[in-house]
Amino acid sequence: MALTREAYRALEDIVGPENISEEPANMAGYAYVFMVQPYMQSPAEEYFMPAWPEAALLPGCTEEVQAIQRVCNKYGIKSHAFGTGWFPGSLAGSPNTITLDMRRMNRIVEIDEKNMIAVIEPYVAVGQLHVECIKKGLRPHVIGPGPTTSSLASHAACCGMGPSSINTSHSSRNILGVEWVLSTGELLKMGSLGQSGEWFSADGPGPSLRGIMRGYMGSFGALGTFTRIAIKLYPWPGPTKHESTGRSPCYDPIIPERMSSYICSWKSWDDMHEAQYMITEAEMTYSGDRAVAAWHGAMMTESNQEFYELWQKGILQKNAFAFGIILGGHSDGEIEYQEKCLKAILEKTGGWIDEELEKVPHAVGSNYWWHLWGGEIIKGIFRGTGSFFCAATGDDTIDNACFGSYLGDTLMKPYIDKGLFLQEVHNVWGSNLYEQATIGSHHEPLYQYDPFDLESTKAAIKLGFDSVGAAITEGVGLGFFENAGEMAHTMTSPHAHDFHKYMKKIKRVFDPNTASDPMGYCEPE
Amino acid sequence: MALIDWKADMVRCERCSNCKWVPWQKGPGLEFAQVCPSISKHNFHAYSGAGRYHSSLAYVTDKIGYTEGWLDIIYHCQMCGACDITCKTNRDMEPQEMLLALRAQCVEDGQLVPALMDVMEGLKAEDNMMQSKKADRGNWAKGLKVKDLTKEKGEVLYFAGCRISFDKELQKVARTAISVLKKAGVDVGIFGKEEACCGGRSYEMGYQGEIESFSENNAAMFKAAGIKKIVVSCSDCYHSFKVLYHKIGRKLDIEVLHITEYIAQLIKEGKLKFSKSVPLRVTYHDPCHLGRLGEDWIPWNGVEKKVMGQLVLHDPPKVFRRGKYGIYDAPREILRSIPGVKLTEMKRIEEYSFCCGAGGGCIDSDPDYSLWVAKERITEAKTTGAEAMVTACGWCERNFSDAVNETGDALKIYDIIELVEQAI
Repeated sequence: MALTREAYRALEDIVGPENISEEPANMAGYAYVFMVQPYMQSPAEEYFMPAWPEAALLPGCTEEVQAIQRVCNKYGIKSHAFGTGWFPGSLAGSPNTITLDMRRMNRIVEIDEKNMIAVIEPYVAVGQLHVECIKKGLRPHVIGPGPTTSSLASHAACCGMGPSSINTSHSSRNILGVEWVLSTGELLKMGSLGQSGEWFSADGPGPSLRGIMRGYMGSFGALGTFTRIAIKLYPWPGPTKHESTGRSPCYDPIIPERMSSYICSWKSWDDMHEAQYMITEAEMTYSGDRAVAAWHGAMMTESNQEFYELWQKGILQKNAFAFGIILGGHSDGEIEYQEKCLKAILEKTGGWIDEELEKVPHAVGSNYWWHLWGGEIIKGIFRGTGSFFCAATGDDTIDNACFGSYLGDTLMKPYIDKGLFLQEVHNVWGSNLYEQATIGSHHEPLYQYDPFDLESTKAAIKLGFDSVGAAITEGVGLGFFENAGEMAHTMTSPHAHDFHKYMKKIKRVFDPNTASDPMGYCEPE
Repeated sequence: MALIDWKADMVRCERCSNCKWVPWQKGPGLEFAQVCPSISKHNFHAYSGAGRYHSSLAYVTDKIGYTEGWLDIIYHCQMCGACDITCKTNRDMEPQEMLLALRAQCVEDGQLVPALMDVMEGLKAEDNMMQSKKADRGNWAKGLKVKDLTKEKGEVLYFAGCRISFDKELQKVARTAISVLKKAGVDVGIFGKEEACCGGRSYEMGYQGEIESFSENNAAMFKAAGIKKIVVSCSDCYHSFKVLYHKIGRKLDIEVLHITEYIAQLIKEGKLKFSKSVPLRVTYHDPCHLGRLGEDWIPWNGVEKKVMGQLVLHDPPKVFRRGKYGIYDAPREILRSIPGVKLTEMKRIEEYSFCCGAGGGCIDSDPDYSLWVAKERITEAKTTGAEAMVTACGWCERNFSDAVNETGDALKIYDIIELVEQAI
């Protein structure tokens, strides 16, 4: 259903004619992203989202977002904010929705060096923020999707774990003051921002709604649009600038003094898990994450062909149970301690740092980029086949991650045996560890499928559905990809205290006219 | 390859948006982090490399048809290759080839831009992209004592190109090049008014048939004159002779050198020596067609295959052009060797350089947009503290000069050969 001319003119008056479009070719750009079919459980032949936005708008400030939202309420339209757009949850999921592309709101409002806080707008990319922060000796929490993605989106509205989580935890823990345009168009200043205009706390003295705002998974824009947020910053041990050598496609970092990049290997899952617990307990890593042989092999090579040739050599398989690490010390003594600590853990658990693997060009460098800010992820999980989805993801202890990965492996095996996914990568799971891994070991049993191959895509869709049921039956927990949205929530909610009912109540109270697209969250009660 | 042949790439573009940004490993912060002029100006996702993949997917699957808006997206692109290279830092895909196929499809379907149709009429009638008379093409060389290779044989041809031949303010570039080459003892000649377009810009505008006849004609003229080395100041011509002719199956059996490559070589051989100081703080703008698009064409004729289940490979293995081997060092070596010149780099350089704005027909189809891009680049150049921006392409110099004239900026714009001449 196209917008009425009256509604269109009302929106155009807010953002100006150059910042609104109904052009179908433009809308196509807002209706496509990887993993659409398994995420939406839509047909394999259908590459786009089932519903395209009626229009796309480029608001330039909070007041414009508020005005847009009021128009949505007046004319019965839904909005869906779109940060950098790298996830189906960014896209309009239902008819009669307009996309708010936040690209023009791209300012770092402030980096408060003394209080270690950054205030940012939606289109500040993780990589940009990182670069600006290190100029002041600080660094932000970074997420797995990498430097291209919106830092605000992950902090306020969408998941939020990454390789640095072992040190900086989860996005939900890092958010401070929030400026939030509710679905009604009202402006809510959350936490200390609402009380004193200061950005230092998400939980008062003003109202704290952090759990409602995002919880663990995030609301994906279904409760309104976040226009500014403050986040915590952490000390950065390196110089004020990232430096690298080489030219496209592989740039090798100049690893700073007092920083190190290692891929550590063990002979079994159990040994690796024991080491992971020790590493988290020691609290000495800058960044640490599961080094999956196939991903890291792809990251350290220039092409699929080169990766395949490396795979044939068997070096990667020899290091199948591996964990990548960056160490970073603020003094010679600190880095020395970290190095000794890592060495001791390796000795205790039978681990090693493989010299042959380290000699592979770009191996150490790509490990550094990945752990610095999720860099090289595109090489790692997209270059091979073009897309991926996950079976039985979860966030819990390392033991649960281990169990989840075995479950994922079991679920994937029949498809892998038929050649429908990238082979030789079973036991694949990413593992962002946070909070000593007591509540935070994020795992993604990930399967890479080819979205251009119908049979491969059909398999991805089927496994995406089946894995929700399997996660319930086996008690792995609520997953990341396959548990977002109405259908998955309905399946899992009865097994988890009927959380879905509460979400529906929240949606109704915060969005009485359903003026925000429920995509990725839930329909109102 | 036709547009539909790129459908797999369209589907496999996961929308990571790296095509919009300077490679992250180069540490772009808030300023000058965007690499694509089109999305920088227009902001809607469809104006990026990934966006054009997705809109094209909608087109080839009949979700959308031709509209004014779709054509606006297609033609507001400099074809500068920035998205191509930044995509290929991560992926085995070919955005630039898809964009070329998309424009060719438009032309085939009669979906044309009036301003570009005028340019094409001029090309067909007068063998140049400047809508000027062919008879005036050799005017730039009036008074120069230089060998006419349409009348006598010679081994080194200086090919001026359309822009430099007809643009009165830029004709000095060709005259200076001849002067410098002669001072280095090079027995250089020209085609004068008989020189014809290389065909490259029309190819990138979607008119892919034209280059066939121009390449055939040019190759015949080169052969007839006994040419062994072509030297060009225009990066578009360089790209045509070195890359496009090879791509369309008419690889020249002649050495193709950009003037910067040749000058750097002559300096190394001791045939060019600088005796004067040129006290100037400069920054260097990498022309797209000399830099990231300037590396050799790598022919490949094969099929896609799968191994390890779904890992996409090519049979025979395909080597992707990723911008690594563009001409980046030669111009910098020249600038560093000129006494007094102090080179300071901009943030966006080499394979992730920002376009001047003139490419892809944009200078003709939407001059305001073209100038907006140039002004963005000039803003970046000024942050280096440079007094002058040096480039190595007539199209870049034209667009930057126009932008500076419009803004009143004090930044001087030079072709690199002008500084070489001053230093000799």
